[in-house]
Amino acid sequence: MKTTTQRLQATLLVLLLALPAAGRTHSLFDSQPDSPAEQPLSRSVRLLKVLITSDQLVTISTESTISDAVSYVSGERYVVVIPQAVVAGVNSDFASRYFTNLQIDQRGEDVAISFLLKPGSVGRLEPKSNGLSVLFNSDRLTSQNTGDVRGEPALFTTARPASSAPVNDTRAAIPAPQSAKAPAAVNAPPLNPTAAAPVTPQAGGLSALLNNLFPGASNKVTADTTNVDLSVPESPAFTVLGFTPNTVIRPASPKAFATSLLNGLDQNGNFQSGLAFDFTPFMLINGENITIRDYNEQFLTRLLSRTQFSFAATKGASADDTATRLAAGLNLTLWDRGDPRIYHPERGDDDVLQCFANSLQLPPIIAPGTPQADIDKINAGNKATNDQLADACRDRARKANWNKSSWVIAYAPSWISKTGDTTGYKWNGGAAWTSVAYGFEGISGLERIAQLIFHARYRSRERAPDPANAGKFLTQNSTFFGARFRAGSPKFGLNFEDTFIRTHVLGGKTDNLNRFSIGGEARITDNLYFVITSGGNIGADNSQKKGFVITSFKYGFNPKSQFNPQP
Amino acid sequence: MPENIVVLKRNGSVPQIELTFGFAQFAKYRILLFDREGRNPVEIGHGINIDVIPDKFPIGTSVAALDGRFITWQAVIASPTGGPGQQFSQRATFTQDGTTCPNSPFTQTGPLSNTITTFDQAKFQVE
Repeated sequence: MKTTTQRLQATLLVLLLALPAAGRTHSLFDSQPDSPAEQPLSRSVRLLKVLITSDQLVTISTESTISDAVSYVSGERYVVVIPQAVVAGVNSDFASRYFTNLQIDQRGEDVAISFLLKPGSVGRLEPKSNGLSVLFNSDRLTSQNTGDVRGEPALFTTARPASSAPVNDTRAAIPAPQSAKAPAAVNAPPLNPTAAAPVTPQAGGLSALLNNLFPGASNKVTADTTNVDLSVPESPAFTVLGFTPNTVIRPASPKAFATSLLNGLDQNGNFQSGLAFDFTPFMLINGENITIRDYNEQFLTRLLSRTQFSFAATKGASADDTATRLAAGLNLTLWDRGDPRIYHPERGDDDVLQCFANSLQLPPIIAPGTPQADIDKINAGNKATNDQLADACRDRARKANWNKSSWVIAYAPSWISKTGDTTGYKWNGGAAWTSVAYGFEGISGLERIAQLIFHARYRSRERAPDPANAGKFLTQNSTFFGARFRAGSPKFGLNFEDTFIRTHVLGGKTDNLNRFSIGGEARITDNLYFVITSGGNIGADNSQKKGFVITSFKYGFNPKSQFNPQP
Repeated sequence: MPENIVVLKRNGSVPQIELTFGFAQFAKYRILLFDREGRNPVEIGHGINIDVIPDKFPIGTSVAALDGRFITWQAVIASPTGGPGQQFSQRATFTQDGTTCPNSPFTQTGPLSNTITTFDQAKFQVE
């Protein structure tokens, strides 16, 4: 208790010390006080109470039924947006078995509550007389061609027009990463501009206090200005369609080369149904003949084994959008020093293969003629033991090798048939990406805690919100260069990034934008972090010049910092 | 389990067994030779498939002594990457005088979820 008090005192001291700096930053960049968060809340704002109970139920209560909530899945997060509301309180004594992290985000007059789902979990909404409930369950039994797949909007939703979504600027197409491991999304859903933004556990209380303490802080400045995804998307075909399904079929055998119906929202907020799969053709066709020794010794085998194709076809599910879209994707990993299939005995148990060799246990000797049932029983028991040992090996290796150097390139062309006819496909642009990561191998002070990433991408015929016409979209070509340095430990995290974006609106103007940000984070106590982020935009258009400082506290069930890049 | 029969030539050289694991998966294995009653196991070889040592071992010292005896191979196969959609394959190839023995190889394949423990066996028949 004494320690906690001391930490809180230290935090307040940091806040007070940071106050003048925040004020200076604000005046330096002349931030526009145009955030809805800075405007008086309307009279219809509801006070929400969020309660997480031991029966894995999340209850969001207010004075009446919440009938206008919207839910969607973004990356690994299940997000519930409640318009015209603020959170008055959060009460949770329980860790959920369905999600590892809860974030509450004030988006202007709306509240976004997002849950970082554990693998296999799905969420849905259920109205109540005094609010609504968020129900979770496992999708393992329902993920194939059912109405309960991840990526599909919840059963109880009220779709908001895309124009009502909070869009920061025309560069909203720059994605906010959902996690370090999440596939990139070139076009994040419009309702997702703050998916990874710092959390305000009590928006009306602590958030207001922080905003008062930091005049330059603005709730409108969101994660996409502070944390840009510099990874090559795992499934380029889906990404170029602005559709990042969570249920991606990855067949490893001809039998598994099946298809799956997918449902979800595209980047414009339109419902889409479609078909998606990706596969590694060399492994699919020739897998039985690919030994791990060949993989280690032959570059071509390695390159082909890691080469991934993806295919996606979507069709608009609403009367406003009947188009059918097709995309293909190619993802090449040219170089990856963190590839777990490459044997590095010098790393000891930090190498997953060496750890396997040291840890995994053979079963007892089975004599010929042993009944099959007994053999199955012995092997099942051995598998249970080895599963745990293998998981521990992978986890250890992942933590040790998360920042290893690598180089990935990808390309994804796309086509569209605006009428939905199969004969009317036309070129609909494409995208190319490359990312080079450097892990400071051999530099003892950095090689385990830091990573430098360079990223470039070109996107043609990209659909983006038109800032001059709410609800309308324009078509543009964009070029993006970015760099990020990130370093961290469980107690402290640091992130610096700089991006350059050149956009050319078809039939319109060309604009350049440079965006930079720096963020730091310190752990105050278990699961509670103090986060401070600063940065700005420098663009050809004066309206793009904007500086910002964000401060917040983040609380989560998962004791993992926001900026610490280590897994 | 149907019995695998490895047919050997009586005047041929000592046979060899080679284990091959596909889909670039890790494997740790053990090979044992039993007597005609399926008892008294003797280890023919063991190892992992990631080192530079070939996963190929001679079986016994004479062909005639193998007639009617059993050989088993057990392995633990693990996916370095983990995750769903993995496959495994294990192939045991018997050779004599540089050529593959009749009925050989013996293959097991299937989906791989994290790790899998395999067992297979064969009986030698000398002609």
